Amino acid sequence: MNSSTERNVESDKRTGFEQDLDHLRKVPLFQGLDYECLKLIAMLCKKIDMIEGDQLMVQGEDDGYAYYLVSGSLQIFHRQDDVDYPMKTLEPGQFIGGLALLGKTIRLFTVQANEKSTLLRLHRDNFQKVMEQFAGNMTRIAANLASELTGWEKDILNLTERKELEGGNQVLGISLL
Amino acid sequence: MPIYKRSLFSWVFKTSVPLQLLLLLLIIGVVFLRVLPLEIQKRIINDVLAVGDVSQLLVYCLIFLLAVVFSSLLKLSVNAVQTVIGQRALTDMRRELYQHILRLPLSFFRKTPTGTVVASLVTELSASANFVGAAIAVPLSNILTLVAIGAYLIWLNALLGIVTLSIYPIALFIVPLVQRGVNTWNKRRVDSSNKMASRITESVSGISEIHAQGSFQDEERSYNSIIERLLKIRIIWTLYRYGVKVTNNLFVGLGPVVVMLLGGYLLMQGETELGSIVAFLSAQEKLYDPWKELIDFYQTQQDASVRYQKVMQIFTGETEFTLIAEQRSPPAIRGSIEIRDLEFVTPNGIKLLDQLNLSLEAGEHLALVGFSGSGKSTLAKCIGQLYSYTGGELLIDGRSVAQMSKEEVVRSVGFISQDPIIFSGTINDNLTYACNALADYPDRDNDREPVSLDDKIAVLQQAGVFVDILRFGLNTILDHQRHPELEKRFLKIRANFQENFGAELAEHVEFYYQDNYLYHSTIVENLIFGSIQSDLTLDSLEENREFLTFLDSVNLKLPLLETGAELLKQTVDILGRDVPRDNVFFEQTPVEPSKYDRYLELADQLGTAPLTKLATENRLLLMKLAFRYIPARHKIVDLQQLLEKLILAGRHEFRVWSGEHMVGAVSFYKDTEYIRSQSILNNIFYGNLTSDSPKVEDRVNQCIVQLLIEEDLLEQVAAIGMEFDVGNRGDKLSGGQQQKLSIARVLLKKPKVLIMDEATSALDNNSQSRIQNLIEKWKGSRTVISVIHRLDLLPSFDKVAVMKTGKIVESGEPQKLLADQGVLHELVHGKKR
Repeated sequence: MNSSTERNVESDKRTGFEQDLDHLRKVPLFQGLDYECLKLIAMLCKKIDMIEGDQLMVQGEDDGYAYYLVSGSLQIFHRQDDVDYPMKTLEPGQFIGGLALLGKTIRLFTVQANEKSTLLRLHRDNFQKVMEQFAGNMTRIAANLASELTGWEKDILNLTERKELEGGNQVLGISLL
Repeated sequence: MPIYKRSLFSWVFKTSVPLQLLLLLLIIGVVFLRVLPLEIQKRIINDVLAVGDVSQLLVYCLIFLLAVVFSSLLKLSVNAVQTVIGQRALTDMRRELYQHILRLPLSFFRKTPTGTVVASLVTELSASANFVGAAIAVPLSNILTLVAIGAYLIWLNALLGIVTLSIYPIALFIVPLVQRGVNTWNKRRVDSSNKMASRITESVSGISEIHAQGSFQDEERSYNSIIERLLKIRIIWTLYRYGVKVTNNLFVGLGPVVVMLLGGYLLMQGETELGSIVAFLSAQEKLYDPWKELIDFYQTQQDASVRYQKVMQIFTGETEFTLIAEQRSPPAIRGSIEIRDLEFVTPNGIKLLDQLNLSLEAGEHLALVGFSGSGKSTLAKCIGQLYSYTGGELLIDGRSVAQMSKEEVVRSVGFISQDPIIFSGTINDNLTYACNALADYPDRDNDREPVSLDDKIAVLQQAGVFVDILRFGLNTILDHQRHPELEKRFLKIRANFQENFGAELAEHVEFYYQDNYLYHSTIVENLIFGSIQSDLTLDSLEENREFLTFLDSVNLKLPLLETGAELLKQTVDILGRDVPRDNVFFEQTPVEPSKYDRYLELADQLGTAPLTKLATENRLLLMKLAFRYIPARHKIVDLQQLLEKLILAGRHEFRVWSGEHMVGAVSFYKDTEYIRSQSILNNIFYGNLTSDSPKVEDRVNQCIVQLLIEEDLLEQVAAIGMEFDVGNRGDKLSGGQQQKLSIARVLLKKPKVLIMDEATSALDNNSQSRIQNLIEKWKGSRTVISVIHRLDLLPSFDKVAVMKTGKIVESGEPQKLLADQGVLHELVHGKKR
């Protein structure tokens, strides 16, 4: 009956579920969600182990998954004219693919595991089932998404050289979406 | 005549004539036996009592008794026959209405809620059926009884008889007047109830908006006005109904007064005997029953026809196609398609297709592209005869699609839709769905061959779902009675696996080693470490008292109860009470969704008393949870090290214990024996696969396929996989698997014209390309019309038609259109920003 309290006394170990929940709390897209809602999301996340070379997503496909990297590392690639250009590397604690949770999303990048990695995986269908239960939280997600997008572009603008801006950059402006 | 035009009464004569005749005979018997006691009664009073003849009295009483007994028996038989007729009529109605509904145009289903269709078939028709059963028996038997008793009374005393009976015609005039009121208000009641139902549906489906706007009071107001109106209607309706009864009773109640008054006077005048007066008085009662039944029947009939008409009104509509071709043998379709000035206008006047012109040689491949809502899908559906176009011409081989029978269309045209529909049943049921449907049409050329296993495997491979099906087969627990010969062969594969791939895959498999805890197995599997070959299965072991005693003896009972309780507590804490009972939410807990309500009750009791004091059935429920607990999957609770050690120790103890208590019933995991409680795959591995890595998965599939081919078992395992139950509407399959299966079932039919309405949109690139490559090989032999959204597939088509707001704005060879830099170019390369 008191096994949970006993366990807490015995050692400070959290259950697998509690660990997952703590990871998800750090995800920017999930900030401010009701605790009950986040718990249900954690319940529908699956912890998976990948080995080097496993592909999480493939450019041009809609797989519908979002991932939280628990351990290991991931490499992002973009393919153009049959050449895979490596982009950035993802470290533990990062969350990717969140847009796919919101609706059909054709991937613009390929992501694969650099080494043995552990991830939390969540599928769009499951995420949307949770959101049906906590309809009000969708507004939170939308707000988080908006601020993420704006923040992202702000960073890019800060990095953009004055010269480039003077040339009349035609690409920037995604936060005006 | 179409069913919706048929009258309720027409069903009465549809049922078997012999039954109706039998009913008639039975009824005549009943009527005779109803009148007979009256005469006996009269004779006893007039003849026997006066003379004092005891033996005569006994004879008459015996006849009376027999008449009563037989009358009851006959009445029972009448009811039985009546029920059979009524239920047969209900079955007929359900059968024919369903047949009619299935063939109604798709537009009907867009505007009719599913609930209405369900309710009509399931509940609404039964009232009509009750009427049909009673339609002949009730009026006939009661009218005959009335006539017979009436005739008998007139025969007894003409004057008294006529005066007594004269009450009924008056009632016959007044009662229907009141009944008319009942009907009017009944119709209003039905309308009002429907209004209430749709109001509730609307509020419940829009509940989030109501919460968002806080419009509770507004919603309540409109709901309240409906129920208040319903209140008024129901009161008036009920009053009218009682009115019918009261009016009726009033008239019938007058009967005895007349008999006593007039009969008494006649008796005093010596114009009749006492026996006749007694007979008259009992006849009053006997008249009342059939009369009342007639009135009830009248009400049933009125109610039934109101409901029947409402149902039939809903399903008014004609089938848009003929089912079977009238010609003896319709010509084989080659597959050329000609579209001239084609139009499709919805009933409310929206033009979805506007003056389309297009032509396609047999064997040509056409891509339909365009912006969403441009009418691509509507056009595809018109060609597949799913929608009937409203103007222009659509010809296949020069013959109008609108004139073609369903038979011809399904023989030659395959339609794959974007949202696949998978029906409950097995993979095989779904795979052969289209071919089985064909088998129900006449075999004109006697050229139909049964679908072979090889054909099925070929299309599953073409659709890219074969490996999945194979996996279903591998995950099956082999039915050793059906496949007794296979166990040995799988054991051979186990040996080959160990030899060839064991080392390579060892780190991804949890082998069944005697001293290791299996984190991917349940607690009970860990404990038994074998399979049980008696009535007792691993699923019901917690109900076995001896086994529970064993658990106690190895100090496992309490820790297991605690684990069960912890699992339950965590589940309820995380999922809450209102979570939908959907498998998806319950994947990481051993609680079964269907039993969640029961477990919630139990959760409320936890903490109020020590676990050992819980009721036995509750303890069993907790034990069951613990037994089903798989540490690697149910992450809401961690496996305590102590428990792990106890279970491993218990595993050894169980070997000893079962040797004494379950002699010969347990076969323990042994690498030279097939394990009947485990899946084929686990048997090959002699362990559980622990990895989720796609690369490992691919490698495992390769190895297993190779081993199965070597042992010539690939087809057999695939066949076992095809028996996999896909769940309710296919919910055990992934979206991609459903889509691939729906493609495979059309490919199996080998249609001359294939229409794909974004059929591959849910698939990954490799699968899409594989299917596209396959279809390319059909150029020249099969016509293909494909609505596509992946424009890089365009080069493989002969022609492309670009659609925009219901019109074809460009059509021709893809390369040429791209070179012209028109709308297609814009679609492919995006708008210049």
